[in-house]
Amino acid sequence: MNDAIIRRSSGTPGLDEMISGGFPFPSVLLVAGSAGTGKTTFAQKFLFEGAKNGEQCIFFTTLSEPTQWMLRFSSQFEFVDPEYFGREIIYIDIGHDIRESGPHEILDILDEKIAAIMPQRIVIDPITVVCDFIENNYRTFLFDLVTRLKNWDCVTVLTGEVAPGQLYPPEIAHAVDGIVLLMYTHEGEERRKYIEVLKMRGTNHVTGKQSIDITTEEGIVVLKSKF
Amino acid sequence: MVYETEVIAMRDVISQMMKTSQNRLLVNTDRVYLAKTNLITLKSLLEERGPRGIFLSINRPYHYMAHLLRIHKVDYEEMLFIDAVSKISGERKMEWKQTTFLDSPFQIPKIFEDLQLIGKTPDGSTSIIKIIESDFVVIDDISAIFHYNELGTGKRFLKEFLDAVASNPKSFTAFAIDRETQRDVYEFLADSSDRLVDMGNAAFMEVPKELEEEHAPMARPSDGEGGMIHE
Repeated sequence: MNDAIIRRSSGTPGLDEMISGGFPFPSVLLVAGSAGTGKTTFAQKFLFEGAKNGEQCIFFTTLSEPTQWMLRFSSQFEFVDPEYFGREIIYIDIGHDIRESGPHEILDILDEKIAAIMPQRIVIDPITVVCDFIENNYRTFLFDLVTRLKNWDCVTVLTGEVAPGQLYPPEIAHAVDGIVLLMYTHEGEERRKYIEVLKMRGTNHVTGKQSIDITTEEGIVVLKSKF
Repeated sequence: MVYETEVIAMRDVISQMMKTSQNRLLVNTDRVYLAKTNLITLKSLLEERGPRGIFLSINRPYHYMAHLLRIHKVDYEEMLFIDAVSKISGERKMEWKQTTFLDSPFQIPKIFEDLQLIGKTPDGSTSIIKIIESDFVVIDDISAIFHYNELGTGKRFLKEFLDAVASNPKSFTAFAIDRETQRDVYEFLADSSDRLVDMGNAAFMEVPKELEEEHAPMARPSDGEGGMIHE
């Protein structure tokens, strides 16, 4: 059988080297971490990397914060090029749809947007808040969501908020192709940041925590890659 | 109209081919733009060749392409879908009346023997739809055949298929494939195709067959059009 996996760059310096060159295409990935670990920054860089290479991207915001505020803060990063807004990167707020619609309707709304734009990269940020509105059908919803996203032929990053001490949201982890953890640890008086690739299907990946920094120039940087 | 420039260019190529009794078109595209390229190709074929096309879906359930056609306002009412993947996809959308579902993509090489491209007519009855009776046949996607079948088996199937098309001047087929990731299969198909088109990231460029070997990959859309949505 001939089954070479196509890969797309994550956009995070140092991460592609940890995952055999990039994220598998197509795939659905979970980027999990507690508040302030850089999930949205990671997701933004992932899309800007695609836009830079001419790919079409969608950023779905759910119920974390209005697009306006997310963009106001992310515009501080040098990699954020306003030229891409509304062209290569389309921001769509689905918070209202999540509040007002059932799981089937949410999936249909996503289908409509994706079919119209035909993106190569998608972010849903964050996916975890959706569970509060779906309750009993959450696992079925996630299964259907991940299946559809893969069949739309793109790489999707779902961000997942976790409580302090929790590694990842387990109900999402089983459904996705890859899991990237962003985390803090206390070391003496310091709080250090790390990235860890916990799972990446079809990919030889570096295991264990790798130190990261968040810079205004490049967003998240895997420090090992600097030296 | 979406991708108007690309559709016009593709229609022009198809039209020229029809005038010269050529009927096997090979399209090179970056794998990540395959869906977009197939949409452009299908729209062009439906407008230039006619509505009674056959769409063989191997890579993903047929309804994704049907959905794209609907969203992008392309009339596909008379198209027949042969879906080799829905039954193993975990998908639950399998409602379209003009669809024949295969049990798995492993059946693809036997499709001529078992089906002779059987479809269902709009009134729900089954009929034999042979290649020569259709306006075109599109396979989405060729490289997926090799995910489920040995290289030799897949090539034999494609050879038989292309020979069948070549021997029936009224038929027409178009394939899209990523030359960079499937070079061996691309070259094999190029040998049996009449015309080559390079879509790269869905921007259009026709490649004279004799120059094909020297042809560089398409420019990225930052150099012009291609990655943008034309609405």
